[in-house]
Amino acid sequence: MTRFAFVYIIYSTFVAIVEFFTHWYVGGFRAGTHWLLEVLARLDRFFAFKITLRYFGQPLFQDRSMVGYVLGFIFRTLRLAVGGVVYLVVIGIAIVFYAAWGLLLPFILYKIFS
Amino acid sequence: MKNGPELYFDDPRLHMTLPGRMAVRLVTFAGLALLVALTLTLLAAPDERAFWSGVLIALFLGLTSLFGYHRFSKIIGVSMDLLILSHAVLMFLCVAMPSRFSRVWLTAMFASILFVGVDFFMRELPYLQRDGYPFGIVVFYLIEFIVVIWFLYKHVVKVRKADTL
Repeated sequence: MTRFAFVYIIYSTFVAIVEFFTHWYVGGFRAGTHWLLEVLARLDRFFAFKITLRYFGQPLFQDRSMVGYVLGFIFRTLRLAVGGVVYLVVIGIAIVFYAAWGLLLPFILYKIFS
Repeated sequence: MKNGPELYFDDPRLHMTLPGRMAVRLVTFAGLALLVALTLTLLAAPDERAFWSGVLIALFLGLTSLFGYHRFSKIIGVSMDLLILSHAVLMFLCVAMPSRFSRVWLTAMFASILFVGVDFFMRELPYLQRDGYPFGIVVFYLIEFIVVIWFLYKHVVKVRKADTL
């Protein structure tokens, strides 16, 4: 059917409209997720959240004395807490951005029809 | 025996007659030209509903053409940094369209660009010493920083001051 010029024009117009929304929401989500993971990966080089969590019960610098265990627990907990807060803030910002991005089209439609 | 997958390209336009293809091109380009003209008219209209309709169509046209360009550049194997391109277009708009109706919209976009620039320098600054780093991009972002700060100062701080006086 799309071999007919008239049908093709109608079909491609419809496809362009559907693609617009797909790119806006799906493509926007993908791009946002990519950015978020990239930022989290870079932050993890500094905060080392994953490795700290893995070696949480281990003392610092392999000092297996009581002091080493206590200090290890304190510093690793602090590192996890600070890293966790920073990650949560970054994830929160990303969620707010995506929500704003997602709500932009309904907002414009609201402004048009209100 | 085949060595790899058989590649083929098919498009409905290839099966059309010459007048059919001509009609598709004419309608497509005429439609696009009409949409661009309509968008500019609506954006310049004093009515708020018309303005937001223009914004919606502008977003549709912008996103569609950007992805069309992206697809095209992938096919021909030449790609341009779309982010840089969009920044350059916005800088041009900043200089060329200082009228009142676009001020709020552009201010919002430039504020977002400022955040992108800050993000760029925060993330890329440690890598600037690397050999072969494209120095032009750093210069571009610096210029953009200056333009954005100038724009925000001109259209936000100065106008606010004028309004309060």
